[in-house]
Amino acid sequence: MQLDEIQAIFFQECEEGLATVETNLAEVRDGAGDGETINTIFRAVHSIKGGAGAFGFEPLQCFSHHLETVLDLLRTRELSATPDLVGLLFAAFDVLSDHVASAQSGGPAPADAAVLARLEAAASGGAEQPADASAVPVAEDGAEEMDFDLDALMADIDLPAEAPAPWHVAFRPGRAAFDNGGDPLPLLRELEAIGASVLSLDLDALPRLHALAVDECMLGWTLAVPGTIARADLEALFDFMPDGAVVTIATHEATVDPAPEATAPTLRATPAPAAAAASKDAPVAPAAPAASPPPATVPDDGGKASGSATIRVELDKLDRLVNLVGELVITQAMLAQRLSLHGVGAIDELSDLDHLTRDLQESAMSIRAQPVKSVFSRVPRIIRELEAGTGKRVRLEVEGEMTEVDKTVVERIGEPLTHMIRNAVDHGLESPEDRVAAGKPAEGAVRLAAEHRSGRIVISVSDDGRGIDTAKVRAKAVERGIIAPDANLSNEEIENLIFAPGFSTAATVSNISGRGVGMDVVRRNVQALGGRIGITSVFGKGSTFTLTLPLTLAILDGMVVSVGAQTYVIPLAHVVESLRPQAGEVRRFGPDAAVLDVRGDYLPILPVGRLLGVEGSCAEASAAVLIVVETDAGQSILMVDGIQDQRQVVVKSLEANYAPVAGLSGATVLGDGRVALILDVETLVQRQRGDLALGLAA
Amino acid sequence: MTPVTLPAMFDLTAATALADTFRAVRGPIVVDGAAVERVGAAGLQLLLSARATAAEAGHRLTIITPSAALQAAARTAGAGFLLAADV
Repeated sequence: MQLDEIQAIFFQECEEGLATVETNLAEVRDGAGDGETINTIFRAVHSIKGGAGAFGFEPLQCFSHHLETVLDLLRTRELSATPDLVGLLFAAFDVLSDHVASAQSGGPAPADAAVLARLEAAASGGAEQPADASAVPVAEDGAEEMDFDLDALMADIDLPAEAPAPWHVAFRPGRAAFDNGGDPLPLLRELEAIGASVLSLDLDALPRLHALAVDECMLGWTLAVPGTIARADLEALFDFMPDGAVVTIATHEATVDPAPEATAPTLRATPAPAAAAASKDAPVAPAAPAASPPPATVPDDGGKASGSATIRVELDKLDRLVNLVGELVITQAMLAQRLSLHGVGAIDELSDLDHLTRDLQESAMSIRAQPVKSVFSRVPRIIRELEAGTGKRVRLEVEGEMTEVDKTVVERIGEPLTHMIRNAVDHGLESPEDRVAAGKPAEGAVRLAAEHRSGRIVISVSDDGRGIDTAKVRAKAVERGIIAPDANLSNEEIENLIFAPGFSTAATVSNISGRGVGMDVVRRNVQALGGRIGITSVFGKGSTFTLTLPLTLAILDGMVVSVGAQTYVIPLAHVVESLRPQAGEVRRFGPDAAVLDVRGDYLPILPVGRLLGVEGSCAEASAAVLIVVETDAGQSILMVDGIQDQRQVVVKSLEANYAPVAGLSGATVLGDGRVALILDVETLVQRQRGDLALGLAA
Repeated sequence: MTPVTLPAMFDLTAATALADTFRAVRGPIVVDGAAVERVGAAGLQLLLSARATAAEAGHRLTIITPSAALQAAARTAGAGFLLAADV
């Protein structure tokens, strides 16, 4: 394993740790947490600190150390979770996230001085002492460097670029560890000398004073030992263990091998002078009940790596699996077609194979499915920043965060979601004073929800703010030349003008929503994913952004149509209906433009053959098949020669396999082995409308 | 509040001898660690137990003037937080 791979695992663990911290912090803030909540936060931060030390991310380690100090005081009830302190913890959490991000990207460390100072003040406040010795950046005694500095130093020395994975050692000396002058501390010193660092000290089994048997060792440790140390050498260090000692040595991978346990209960490998001296003075060791040591290994940070409930798989492997399954689906379709040509298309085995392939495909896709939680968890921070930037107060409600979608979709929800949230807070919600004046609570509500709806994921962001002032939007759109002054638009159409290029409703473009990307760009990006974004609003009551995306980008339901000698796929998400017009229902405007009266609406007809330059396609609408499609620019009609089929197709990227082509969103391989291109309906319709507008203007 | 003074040799023997002293303390525990020259895990364990016991009762354990040896041992054992409240 390469160092960067181990680091990748570390950063994954950081991500999980940060999510844990944030969830539990929210519980503390809402008063829902108990002692274990703080413990959970502490452990997560502690793990991040430990890993940061092992990899030499000094700023991250230093910051998490300070945060950990405060958390520790909180967990031992030396500090109490006042709203101020919780606010500080949230601020520190944000900085911690930035630290992780900068460690990952190799960028400069974030400015953390202000928060660090507050953390130190909080720690010393709780300690009723001016400062925390371990937090003072320079120790008085040069030899007594801080633990994190030492760790980082060790990591630098012992983890060259090609270093193997560090060992994870869980070490519980057992009750009898102090017998005959034994002491685990010298062993820890030896481990420290070879570059190990203590990830955690396990005090779970340590009794309180009244129940403490001073001569029984109830401590346990989890250590990270540089992978450069040979396993045999590491095991040798633990050779002389008293009865009842439990040692597990594992790499970061899921294997846990118990180290051979020594049977000799007598001597430690290298008794320190102190321990040796003690053994002379000590009374005869009492008969320690060596039979009942806690057999479990330390269920702490290290336990995560050895858990068997989940495994980590590289995304590349998963992508390869999904791709292969896609090929299998295509091959299955080809086989079915070939067999049906020979009159044996109805055999049971073929339909079994069909079912199996579908199940396999679904399973493969579900492996890639992830809850949208990973994206939703970023929202509280965005809200906090917005609150700080605008002076507004926001209560966030989240629903459906466990809704699963394909990883590729999850990755691409983030940007539109951020814009929706920014817009809701920045443009939607009023200032606390205005809200009170309008008879609303001073705190605005933003509701974030996700759900599956007919094979798509729908994410909505609602606020209870001022809503969209359609009169103002309309005036602005006229002023900007986006619509004609006498245009006849419904309220819904006016509201959706905010997605028009060059439109901004805020009186002054703030640096919050106006981060250089307009809603038009957001809409375009969403459309590129086969999704839609829209807004509905009630003036004075609030607005709701709705983002609809396919569950996966790898498979799509399509209508297979023929145009000339070519076969195309129209994504079913766009298709409203298909019809064959009677002669005379189609009205022509000049040689190129035609419309059809569909129940009172005149919809433009787009001849796909002519748009894509396909020879031999049907030119006469009355002889063709017309497919009504829904787009963001309203309904239009695609004219094709005929409909062949309606089915799921495996999407192959044109960008990856050839080059992007305007008007086409991808390709697929059909059952007979031919390639069919997938139409990008939005672009086709927009292009046609643009052409028409140009034609009319000319 | 009289500090509990740790001996130069803070090992199992010393820990056994000091346990009752710690048990007798009501309220915050103050520990004088200036004289410590050698530390055993049994000593650290006693401090850790005392700290947890005090914390449960809403009190603190403070080590004033921990010696270099005590600081080093605490950090080696991952118990640096013992020193967190000192000066």
